[in-house]
Amino acid sequence: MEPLVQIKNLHISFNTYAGEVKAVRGVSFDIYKGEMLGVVGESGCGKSVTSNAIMRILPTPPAEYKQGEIIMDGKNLLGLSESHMQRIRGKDIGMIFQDSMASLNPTMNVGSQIAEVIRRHQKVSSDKAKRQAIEMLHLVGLSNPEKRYHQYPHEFSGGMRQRAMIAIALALNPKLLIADEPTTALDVTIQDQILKVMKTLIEKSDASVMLITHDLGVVAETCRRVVVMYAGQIIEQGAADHIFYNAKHPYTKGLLLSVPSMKMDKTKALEPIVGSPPDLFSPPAGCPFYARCKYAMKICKDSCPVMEAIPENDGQAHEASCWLNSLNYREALGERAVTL
Amino acid sequence: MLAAALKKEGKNALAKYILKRLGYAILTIWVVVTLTFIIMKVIPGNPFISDKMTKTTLENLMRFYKLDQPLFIQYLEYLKSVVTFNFGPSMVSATLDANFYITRGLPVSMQLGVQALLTALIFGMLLGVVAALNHNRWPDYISIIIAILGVSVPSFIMSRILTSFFSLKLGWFPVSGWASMKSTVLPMIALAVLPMAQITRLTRSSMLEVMGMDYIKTARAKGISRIALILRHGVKNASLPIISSLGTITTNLVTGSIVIERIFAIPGMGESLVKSVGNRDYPVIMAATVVYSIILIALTLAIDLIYPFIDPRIKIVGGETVLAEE
Amino acid sequence: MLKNNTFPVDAFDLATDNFSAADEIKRPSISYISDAWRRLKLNKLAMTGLVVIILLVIFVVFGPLATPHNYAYQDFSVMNQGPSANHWFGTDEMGRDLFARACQGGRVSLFIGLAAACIDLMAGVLIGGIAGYVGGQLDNLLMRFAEALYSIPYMLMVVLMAIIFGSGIFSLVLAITITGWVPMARLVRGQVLSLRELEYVQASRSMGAEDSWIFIKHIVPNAMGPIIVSATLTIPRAIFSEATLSFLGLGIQPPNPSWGQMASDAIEQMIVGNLNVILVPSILICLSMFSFNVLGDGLRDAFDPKMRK
Repeated sequence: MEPLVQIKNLHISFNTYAGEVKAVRGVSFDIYKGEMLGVVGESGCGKSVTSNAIMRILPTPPAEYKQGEIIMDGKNLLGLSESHMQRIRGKDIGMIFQDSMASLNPTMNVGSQIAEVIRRHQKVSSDKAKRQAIEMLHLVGLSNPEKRYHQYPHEFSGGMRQRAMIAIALALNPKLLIADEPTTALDVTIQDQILKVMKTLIEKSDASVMLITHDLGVVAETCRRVVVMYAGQIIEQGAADHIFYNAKHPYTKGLLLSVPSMKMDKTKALEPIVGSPPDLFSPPAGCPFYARCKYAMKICKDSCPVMEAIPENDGQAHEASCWLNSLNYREALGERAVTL
Repeated sequence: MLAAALKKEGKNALAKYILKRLGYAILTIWVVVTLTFIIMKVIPGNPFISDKMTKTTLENLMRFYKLDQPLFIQYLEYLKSVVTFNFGPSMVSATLDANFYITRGLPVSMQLGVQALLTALIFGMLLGVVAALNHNRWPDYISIIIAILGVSVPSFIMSRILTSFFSLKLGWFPVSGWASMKSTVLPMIALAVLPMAQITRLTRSSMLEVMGMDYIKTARAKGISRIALILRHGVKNASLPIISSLGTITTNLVTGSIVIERIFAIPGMGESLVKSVGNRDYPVIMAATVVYSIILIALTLAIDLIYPFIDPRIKIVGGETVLAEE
Repeated sequence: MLKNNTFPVDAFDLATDNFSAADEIKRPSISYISDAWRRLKLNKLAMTGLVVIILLVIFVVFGPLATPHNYAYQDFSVMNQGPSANHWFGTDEMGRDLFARACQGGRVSLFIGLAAACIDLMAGVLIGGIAGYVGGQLDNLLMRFAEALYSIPYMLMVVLMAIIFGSGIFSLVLAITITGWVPMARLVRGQVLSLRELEYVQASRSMGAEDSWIFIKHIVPNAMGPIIVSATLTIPRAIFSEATLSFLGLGIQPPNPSWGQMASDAIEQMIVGNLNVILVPSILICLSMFSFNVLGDGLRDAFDPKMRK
């Protein structure tokens, strides 16, 4: 599989009145063609900032791309001119957002908002664009699409609006769809429907999807690979199966334990992870999870662990950055070494 | 959007809304008219007091102007004159009608008002949008300064500044009068200053709020050009609060025009009003007051009627406007 | 960082102090009012306005004590002079000392502004409060009456009132406040209604009486914010009205000075008169309007709960 997008050593900071917030600190991962990649992490871990960076829609004051590259189609997206990026947005990369009510223009009817992206990138008449938009509305599963075209966002329900957003994002068959918390604001039953819609449309076009969420359940259902972010860094990434059944980072482990499931022991209490993420104004020099980690060691405070490959039976890639996985640790403690 | 609105609520609710608003407007006009009448009768002084007048002449005059009738009859006569829009003869001039002052003055005042309003709207919105897009940089600071100045400098001082600079020093425009297009420029600017300051500030804050909205991000993610983004998504939404404040702004404009007409000796209605007040010329006072009030009430009514059609989120339910929810 | 990939001896010993690092430093919670005051202080423009207001007040209150001249005394030998050691602001066309006149006029203008704001406040709070609290038909009646009154163009009303009640400070204040209280009343009514709503919600949640009091302690300061802002912004409106009325000949009559009266006099005599006669009152009017406006704006931003950090 070849990568569609390669993110290399991305560093992004926000220059605020209170100082510099280092929101993304050395993030590197690939998105392969035709795959569904899940990016999980709690609020503030940098997952949305990273996705916005791919689209380059971060407001550049106060955001600053300090370092790194985002390679797509052989070009570094961070180095392209704004007009070039405008040709890519909506056409090669599509994006859907969490709060669909706030993400749709309240004074424009829904259909026109879909037609808008079509007409921006293709030289078609307004009639043709309208027909295409109606077709998209039909594809995302909205009944009576001709009528829906003329309606306004406030006349749609949450689920319908999210479908409309999908229609906008996928209207031009982009190579990459970035879905930033698409189901977080929806009921569980609607969530399911939306994910189905997304999957159906993606399968047809073989696009890649970057699904950002803090909901592990959604990831487990849909993603083949997972990237786990914490405090602006990637702390673990690999095939979904490995992440879920063979997590090698205390944070990932903690996340999995804190989610209720049908199979768990109902007499035991849920284990939350105590504390909260570190302050990104002055991020710690060592492992960012140090202050909340059950297994923390002295070295974890001073030195940030390196990304180590975790060998797996099926040969799929799995890496985590934790000192518990390093060879030195295993050798030094031998029998007493902790295995997550 | 009109079609959609009619379809949405059915003609019934719409008609109900229009009638209700209309009825309200008429009621208010009646209140204003009555109040004016009361005020006129309360004002001390009589237009005809003069030592040289004989008693019979005074009686004749009083009878001619119906001032000898009991108050209630005068009130009915007054209402009649308002409804038929015939305010009777002026008390100052034997030959001129009160209506004359209105017909002469109204077009002039309207021209001044409309010119000033357009100036204020165009430049105010332009400045406000530019300021919002350049938040915390120098265009923003300039707009804030202009907005503050506009609000702090009363129109008569501003007029004086404009005249002394552009008329006396540079000689570009005449000092006063309403002779040519040129003479309309300075009064127009002087009158536009306050509304422009208000519109600038309103546009700026509205635009700032809109540009921070999520749908701007969605629009950017579509790859549309910056101009399209600013106009179709930014300004379109930002202008809603401005339209709804148009009522207040025009009210200020009308009252401001009275002063401007005085300063620049413009033969509009404001000028007539002030003069007639000084002369106790009742018919003219009442005529001018009624006309002004009707204009303002009609304007507010028009905005009330137009706004629901511009903002698709407003529904007309049971004769009132409500914010539509799912 | 690791040097040469060598691990220190105790690298893999368990850490003992890491959980304490997880404790957040919580910001001290401050009351709504002190937070608003703190935010106001940060607003340089608003603070400038406040300083200017204080200076103006000092000027008009203590000014007459500082100068030997009387504002009404005419000395035709020194007409239309520029500033000098004797006459700090110069003299006007009747030989009167401008400094003394500015002080006296300031007392009148500022008093009118303040009085108008107070009356609007009291009338608004009273009527709006009653309407909101009692509700029902009385509320309806009061609000309809207020609306009708408010539909009359402000300046028109002011002009007409000024004619009826003549000129003079009190009639002027009355003219300005007769329709000016309506926005304040609407504001107060709104606040009272939301207060009632909260109490109602309170009751339906079966909270004890104690909690209601605490709630009121938090809500009332919240409600006061917009009311204070509105009152502050009434002052420049009143000063403006006074100035405009004087210009139309309906305000303070000569020889009594007010800033508006002095300015309109000076402007009428456009060609004659030295610059001071125009500049002094005009600048003072503009300064006072500017400072109250920016202070009011600053207060509005400071009290805005959405901007609370």
